[in-house]
Amino acid sequence: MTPITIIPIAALAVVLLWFYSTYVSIVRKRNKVKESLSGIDVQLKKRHDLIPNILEIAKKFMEHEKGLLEAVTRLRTQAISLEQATDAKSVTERLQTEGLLQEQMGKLMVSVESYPELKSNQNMVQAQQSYNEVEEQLAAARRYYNSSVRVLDDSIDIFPVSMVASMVGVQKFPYFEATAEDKKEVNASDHL
Amino acid sequence: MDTVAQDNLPEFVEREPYEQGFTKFYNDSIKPQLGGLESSRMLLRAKHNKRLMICIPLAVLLFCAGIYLESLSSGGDAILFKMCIFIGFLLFGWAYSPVFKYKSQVKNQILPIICSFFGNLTYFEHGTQPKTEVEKAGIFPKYSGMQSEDLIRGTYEGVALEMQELKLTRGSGKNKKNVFKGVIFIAEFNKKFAGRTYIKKDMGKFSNWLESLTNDLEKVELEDPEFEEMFEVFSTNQIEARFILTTSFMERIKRLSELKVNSGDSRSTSASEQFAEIIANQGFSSYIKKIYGVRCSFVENKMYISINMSYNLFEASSINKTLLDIEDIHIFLAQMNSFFEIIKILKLNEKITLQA
Repeated sequence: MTPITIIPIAALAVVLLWFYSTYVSIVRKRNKVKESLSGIDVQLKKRHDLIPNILEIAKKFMEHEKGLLEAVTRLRTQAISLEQATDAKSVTERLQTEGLLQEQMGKLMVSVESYPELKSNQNMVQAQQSYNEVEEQLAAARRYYNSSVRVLDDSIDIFPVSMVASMVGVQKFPYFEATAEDKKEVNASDHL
Repeated sequence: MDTVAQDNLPEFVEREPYEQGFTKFYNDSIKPQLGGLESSRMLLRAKHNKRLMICIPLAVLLFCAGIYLESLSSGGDAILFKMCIFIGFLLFGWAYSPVFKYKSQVKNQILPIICSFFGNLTYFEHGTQPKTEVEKAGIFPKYSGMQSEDLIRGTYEGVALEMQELKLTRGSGKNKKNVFKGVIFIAEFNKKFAGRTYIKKDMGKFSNWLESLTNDLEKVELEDPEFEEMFEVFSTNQIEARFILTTSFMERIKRLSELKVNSGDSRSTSASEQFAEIIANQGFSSYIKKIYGVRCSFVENKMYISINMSYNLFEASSINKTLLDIEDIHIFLAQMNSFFEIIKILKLNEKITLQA
């Protein structure tokens, strides 16, 4: 083999090696995003499991909040149906549904304050404590998910890695963002 | 022994906010003992000086004798010289034993009172930290020998805590070296966790990468760029690490660098005075960052903090310095308060989340 033949072969080998290592890196980052999504799933499942118990206790006292209780039930059912979503579009819809569910649960928890008997009910207190714990874990899981998405986005946004990403079909994932309701300013007089 | 007259004993002047209310403790528990301690100091100082007057000439004699005997002997390992040096060390140990006794008296009579002022806390001069706790913390280098002193244990504002001065060594004989000297601080955390999370000082990309090769932990990248600049976080559980390190908790850990302790007027030349001066000018965590930095870990339901320090805390001033200016008491209060400030800043005394 002469140098004239060795050099192009070596160059091709380097390019192939780079391509393979980039491909492995992208796939690892994508799998990290999926892993982080499953972390959210675990917490969402816990939340879904807690909600019926909370609704059962609340129903006995909150006769005038029927609309709110029904909204929570409907959103919970919708969220459970989207639990198996893995593609980017379905994940977006799922995250939106979970955001709405969280919003309605927030309203429910605030409404509990208006019912002294319910507020002091031992079962309700325990249910609220469990729910708060799950929400904190969920917030942590979402942060991890967003962090994984950022790492993936950082790599597939930059050329030439973006070229490899598009060749192997790795797409961006959506960030978990606050809902429009969450972003609105809170007016204390609305709650007093 | 003659006790210093009660009329000659100083009054305690509260100089700092954390000293508020200490006057009563001082008047009730420390002042009655101060006269006796001061008299004891004078006696022990006299004993120490007398022994030094015997020791120094003897030591010089031994040194010369060692050299002379060695020159006469045919062996090449200087055994006789080493024996003379060893005897010299024993002599100095005997000469300085009144100094150690004095320092121990001050510690054992004053520190327990200061501890009880801050909370339901107990002081043990020679209490030992169980090896299991040091190993569970996971923030100390590998070691083969451990020495500890000045253990404080109990509750402060409802938080169960322990803190102790620790010295870890590795190797033996000529190869023995210090791998850690400082304080271990253990506090019950207000959340329970299943995994292990570690916060270490950011030592730069290359050092961080090297460290990551030696363990099975994952690097946790957090949203706060300032926090990321200062610390590196590793964990067995990415979600749990973020569960612990909420954005507000990260802010609190950063706030440790703003912690300031005013030690008041510093006039002595003791090592504790140097500490006080640095703290007054630069703040507690600036001091510890200046030396080596802080490491934290979260294991089971406890937070472990290791703080490297080059010298001892809670040490009485020189035996030649009078106790009656009560500067030592101000310094002990300042040093102890610095550690309890950690609990307030990190809000470990607030139950943020109730467990499911």
